[in-house]
This record gives sequence, structure tokens and C-alpha cells, in this order.
Amino acid sequence: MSGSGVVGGVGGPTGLSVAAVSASFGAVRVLHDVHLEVPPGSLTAVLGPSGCGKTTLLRIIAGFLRPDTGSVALDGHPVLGLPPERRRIGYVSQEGSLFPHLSVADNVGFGLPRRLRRTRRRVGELLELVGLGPDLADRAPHQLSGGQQQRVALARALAPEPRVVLLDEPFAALDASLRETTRHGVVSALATAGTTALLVTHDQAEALSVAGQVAVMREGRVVQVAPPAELYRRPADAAVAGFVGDAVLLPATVRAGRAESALGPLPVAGRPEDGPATVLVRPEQLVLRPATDGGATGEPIARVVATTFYGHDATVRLRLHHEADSNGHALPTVLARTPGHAAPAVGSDVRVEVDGNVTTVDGH
Amino acid sequence: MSAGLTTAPAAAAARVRPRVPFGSVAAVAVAALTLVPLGFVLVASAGAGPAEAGALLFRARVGELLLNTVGLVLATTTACAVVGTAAAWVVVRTAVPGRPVWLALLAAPLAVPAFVNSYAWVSLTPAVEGFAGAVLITTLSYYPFVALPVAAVLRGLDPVHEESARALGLGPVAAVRRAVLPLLRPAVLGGALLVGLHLLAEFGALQMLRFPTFTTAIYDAYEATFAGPAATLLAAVLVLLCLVLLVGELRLAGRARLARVGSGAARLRPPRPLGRATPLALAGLAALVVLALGVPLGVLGRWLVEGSSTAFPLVELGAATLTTLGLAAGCAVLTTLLALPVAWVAVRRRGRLIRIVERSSFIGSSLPGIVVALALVTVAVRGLPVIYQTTALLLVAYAILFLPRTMVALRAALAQVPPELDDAARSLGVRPAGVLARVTLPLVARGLGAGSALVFLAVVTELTATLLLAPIGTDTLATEFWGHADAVAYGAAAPYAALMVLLSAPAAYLLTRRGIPEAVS
Repeated sequence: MSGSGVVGGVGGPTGLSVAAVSASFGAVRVLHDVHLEVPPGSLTAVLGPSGCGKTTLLRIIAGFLRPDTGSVALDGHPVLGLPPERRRIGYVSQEGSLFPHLSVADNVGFGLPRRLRRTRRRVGELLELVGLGPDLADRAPHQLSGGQQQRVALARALAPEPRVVLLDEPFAALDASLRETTRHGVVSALATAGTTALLVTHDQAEALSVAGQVAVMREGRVVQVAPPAELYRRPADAAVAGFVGDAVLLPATVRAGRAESALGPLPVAGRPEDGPATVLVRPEQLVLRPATDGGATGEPIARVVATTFYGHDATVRLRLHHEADSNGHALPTVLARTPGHAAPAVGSDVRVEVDGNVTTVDGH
Repeated sequence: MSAGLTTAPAAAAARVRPRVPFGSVAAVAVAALTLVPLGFVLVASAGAGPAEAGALLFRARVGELLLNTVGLVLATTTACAVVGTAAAWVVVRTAVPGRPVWLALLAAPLAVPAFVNSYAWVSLTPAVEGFAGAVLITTLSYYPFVALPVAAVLRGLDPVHEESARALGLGPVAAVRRAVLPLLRPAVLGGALLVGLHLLAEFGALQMLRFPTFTTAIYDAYEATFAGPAATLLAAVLVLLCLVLLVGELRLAGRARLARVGSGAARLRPPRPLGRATPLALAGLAALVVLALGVPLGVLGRWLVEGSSTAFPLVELGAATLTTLGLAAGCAVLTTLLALPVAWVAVRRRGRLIRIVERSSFIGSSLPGIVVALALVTVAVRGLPVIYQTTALLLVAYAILFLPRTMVALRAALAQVPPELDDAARSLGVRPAGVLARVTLPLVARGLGAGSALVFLAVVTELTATLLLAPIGTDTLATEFWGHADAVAYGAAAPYAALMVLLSAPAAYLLTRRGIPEAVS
């Protein structure tokens, strides 16, 4: 089954290609001119909040909904004219949707031709691929844990060797403890099979950790498509910055590649234009040291307003004030992230240093 | 999650579906069929001029029928509500000895058709003729319609409400009155309305007790003048009474929002010890079972053994049994075919039209068998004479009367088949016909079987419509029984009654297992 996405469409574009898709439910527009390219063999995540249209996009690709306009192509061939059963697109839903009247083996074999359904070899291979033992084959779906059900659903979707697998929030219904292991199992099975995959999720950590490429959706539009690290470091705008992680956004004035801000002069990545701007600092870039340590003059001092302890790390809310600044200007509060054991006490003063470059963002 | 969007009604509308909505068209056609009797009554009574209608309706005789019918409905539904609730309470909530046996016995009277019960009592003593006897016998036959749903609610009731009431300072009696009884109200009222509808439709039991109501009067008028204006106008009044009860039921269904609030499973509560009240409770339950089950079965047994007219004509018995089973099987198949599109549309589509279609199939079946039969006779004779006096017409009448039994079961089963399973199957390369064969039908098979069983057993004990519509020469167990019992040949009637009870027993058992009246109406 590996590389089936690469074989077809010689000379043309390969993988999944969504172009200019718009869709509405009644008078409500839910997708506006959506474009998305999913390279063959890769895992792309569609990340967005509830109601942003990401599930609608997935269901249009699968063939369960029709768009108003636009096109969807697989390996260069348009598929919108085809019914779902002829698209060779696998689909894994949030609940797994295993057939309750069939055993695990019969679920996995459901999409196979009759002759393959009877031999257990193929089913055994698929169960092994998703990390399940052959002893589960004769179980009924309700005898499985949620995580096992999702693995079986993936094995079932992979069985007919689809050109693309679509995953609709497949881990959202699982307990936190199961979610991590199931996610790992599913992603490594997809990688082993070499299947092109599109994962829909509202969980930014999930999108950033599993995908090779993340498409951020908002109110029916794709606002940014980028590899996870670039998305995190250089978000398209302030809203994306805040959606993919905690963000400290500060007004600043850029001059010759440096931003003058409440945190002092900061090096800006890229080639920013001079003038007023908003800069993005990630909380983990803020390094805190006791104010009594002494340091470079002009380094900002802040008072610890509140801390939240998570174990491995802690977030610290700080109110900035400059040693020099005694005329009592209201200065912004910022969020810092420190290792859990190093969280400063509430009410103490700390020196704040920024590690690494910052980025300018639009639309704060 | 954007799941919120895809489950919105608008999303359902955008789902890819065939261009011709075959299911919706079929559902509308079925609904139209079930509305034939109501339409007939409206058209025919409008057709009788005001002068004629006035002369036929404003008579002392009609006043007497109205008084009898309304009086019987009020008295028996009240009695059923009290007896049924009390019996269910004792069996479910107290530590009365032998609870599982009593629970089964609570539903057992459903296995004895009301007209067989009536026959047993009348042949025991003529004192049961008249109003008091009618109330007694119909209460004994119909109290399970209240007892079973109340028992089901009591079983599922979370003791937390009663405990909260106690913690808020209420005494044990006040806690039950203010925290438990309000939760039982929908079950009690729903069961009582069901009893009312059955009473309006009851023919055999009341005819045998010489207690005239609209239904028996319509039958007599039909015997005298066929489907003349006399029968039609009486039917119109009867339909009006039914609609009053139906509106009550709809309003009740609209207000019944008494589901558990909050998460977590309901706890079970230990049964309440009765202490010195135990003999009293046992005596009450025993009296109920003796009157409702002991008398009819005992009398039937006596007639079987020693009746002067008792005979066991094996050929006739065998033929009637076969005819009955054949009709019942035919009807089970027909109602299943008719219920499929309606149930499918009701579960998978939304909208006002769909709700009307679904409701209409329930209205058709809420009309008394006598009205449905009268309507079909008239429509057939006037419009389609070839189907008059055919088995097909009889099966259509059965289907209109019993469609909801299949519908309810099928609907519940279909609701367990989420559309996501269809999507999953389609994405695995299976075409819609394959989805139906490999996913949908296997999953609803159980519900389909249960619904068909209920229809099967309803047909076995159907009397009124069969008397009017059975082609000449088609004798069922019920009509053979009726022919003999009506001629006071009690012994000769007994074997037919015994066979009906035997064939009905599985239905009563099924009802105790499901415990919900929706299987009945």
C-alpha cells in the first residue's frame, strides 16, 4: 500500500489538492475560497477552533457533502463528480464509527474484496500495523477501549489501500492518558504505510507535534499553511500567534532590525520595516533572574503578580516596571514560562531577559 | 470541534443524497394511507346535510351513548391509574415476597383479550352486565397499560431525588408526594390515555356485557343499514372523542421533560421493607391477579372440560388457527414494509413535513378498529369494488391499526444506527445498496423482529375490524369465538379463546421485558 499516492498522475501534481472551495449551509457561508495542497505521503493537520469549517472541508473531500464551488483533485484527477465509495479516500471519525454488529476482524475487512475478507492474513497485518495483537480480532467493538477502537478504525480505513486518509478529530474523545499513546500509534502506522493523511483537530499541541504541515483555519478561511516550527515562530497574524500557543504581544518601535519595547531593545527576525509594530515574544523566551543578582542597566525589572504551577513547568504573570522609570507609567503585564522548580515567589521582583529573536506580527 | 456544524439541521440538509428522495415519497404515501379513515369520516359526515345530521345526532339515544362512553372512559381510566400505579409501586419499590413473579403476573392480563375476559365473567354471573361490570372488567383488562410504564419509571428512578427531599427537611410521605409522584405523572397519564383510546375502540367486551357505547352502536347500525349516515355520524362523534384524547397526549408529550439532570449513572435503591403491611400487600396483589387472570382462565378451563356445547372440531380449529396465523404473518410483513420508509425518514431527516408524516401514522392507528373498517368498506365499495371482500383490504385495515407497533420498534432500532456508519461504509468503497444490506439491515433486524412479533400478536386477537372486513369464508380464531359466544354457546367458544390466549402469551412476556407502553400504541 505504500506510495500509492505517488504512482498515479504521472507528470501532473500528486497528492491531494483542494482549490477555491466554497460551501454554505442555507444562507450561512461556512467555507470561503479554501486552497490546500497535501503533498503525497505527508501528514497535514487542519487546525482551527470549533465551527471554523474544518470538518465541513473534510466531509467535502470525503464526498459526504458537496461544495458550492471549487475543485478537489487526487493525484491530478478531479474527484468531486465521484460518489464517496469510488474516491478511494479513507475516513476515520471522532468516535471511530466501528460497525457494532461486526467483530474487529470483520470491521477491518469490511472494505476488502470478498476473497480477501475470508483470509485472515491481511486483517492480521493491518492490526499489527496499528499496534494491536491478533488476539483482538474476534472481539466485538464494545469490548475495546476508546483508543483501541480508533486504531481499529484506522486499520479499517487503510485496508482498501486508500489514496488519502482523512482523520476527523480522531483523538478528541479519548482520555488524556490514552490520547498520547493512541496518537503515537496512529501517526507511526500512517508513516509506515506511507499514506497521505489529512488530520482535523482543534488541539494546537496535537497539530504541531504530529504534522509535517499545518493549515490554520478561521471562520471558513485558511489563514496560514506552514511547517509547525515556522507557524509557531512566524505566525501570519496576532490571532494565529495566540491560537498556536501562549503569546506576549508588545507594542514596539522597530529601528534597524531592533524593536524598542517595554522589554528593552529586542532583535527582530527577518527584515522588518522601520516604524511602529507589534512584536511577538513566546513566554518561554523570557528568562527570569532574581532582581538582586544585578545586571545590565536598562534590563527590565518586573514584579511577580501570580504563578501557576504545572509540575514540569510553571507560568509566571509579571508586571513590568523600569528601575529608572519612577513616574508611575502603567506598564503591561506579560506571561513567562519557567521550569517548575524555578518559579519565583509571588510579590518578588525579577530581572527579565529575552532569549532569541522576536517577530513582528500584524493585526493586534 | 466543528462537529457542532455538521449536526446542525442545515448540515443534514446539505448531505449528499439521491436526487429523487424515494424514502420521503414513500413515507408521504404511507401517511396518506393511514389518513384514509379520518378523511372518510370528515367527508362523509360533511356530506350528510345539516338537517339529516341534526336529526340523527340530537336524539336521546345518542345522549345515552355519550353518557355511557364518557362515563366508562372516566371511571375506567381513573381506576386503571390508581390500581396500576399502586400495583407497580408495591412490586417495584417494596420488599414484597416473590417480586419477579408478581412483576410477570402484572402484565399477564394482556394475554387475555378483553372480550375473552368479558365472556368469562358474563358466563360466570350475569350480574356484571351494565356500567359497574363494564368498569370492573375493562379495568382488569387494561390496568397493565398503566402498571407497566410506571414500573419501568420506578425501576429507573434515581433515589437521589427522594434523598434530596429528605435532606431538605421533608418527611417520608411528603418526600414521595413532592419529589417522586411528579416524576411518575407522565407515565401514569400516558398509560391512562392509552387505556382511554382502547376503551373508545372496545367492542367485543362491551357488547357481551350489553353496555352500549359509540363503538357497539356503530356496529349495530352497520349491521342494520350498512354504512349509512347513521353509522357514519356516530363514527364522527367517536373520532372527535379520540381526537380529544390525542390532543391531551400530544400536550403531555410536549411537556414531559423529566430526564435525569447531571452526569453519572443512576443508583439502584434497595426495596423498602413492608414489615407488618406485608400480608396486606400480598392480599392486594393476589386479589388483583385472581380477578384479572384467575377468573378468565378458570372459567375458560371449566368450559373446556364440562361445557354442554363444548366440542373440539379439530378441522375447524385447525383451519381458524391457520387462517389467523397467515393473516398475522401477512400483516407483519406488510407493516414492516410500510413502516420502513416512515421510520427511516423520521430518524434521518428533519422538518415539519416529516413530523406531520410521522404523527399521522399514529393518528390513523388511534382510531377505533370499527371506524377504520367502516371507512375501508365504504371507500372500497364506492371507489374500488374489486378489493371489497378481499384479504388484501383486511390486511390494509390491520396495517393502519398496527403500524405504530412496528414503527416504534423500528425507529428505536434505526436511531441506534448513526449516519456516521453509512459514511464509514461508503468511504470503504461500498455502494448505498451494499450499506443497506451489510450495515443497516443487520443492525435493525432485532427491532424489526420485535415489532413484527407485536403486530403478529395484535392481529391474533383483533375482532372488530375482522368482523366487518373478513371475506366470506375467512374465519379467524376471534371471529369463530365471537360467533359461538354471541350465540351463548360458551362451551363451543372456549377452545378458540384458549388458542388465542396461548398465542398471545408471548406478547405479554415481550411487554414485561420492554415494559414500555409504546409497544402497544
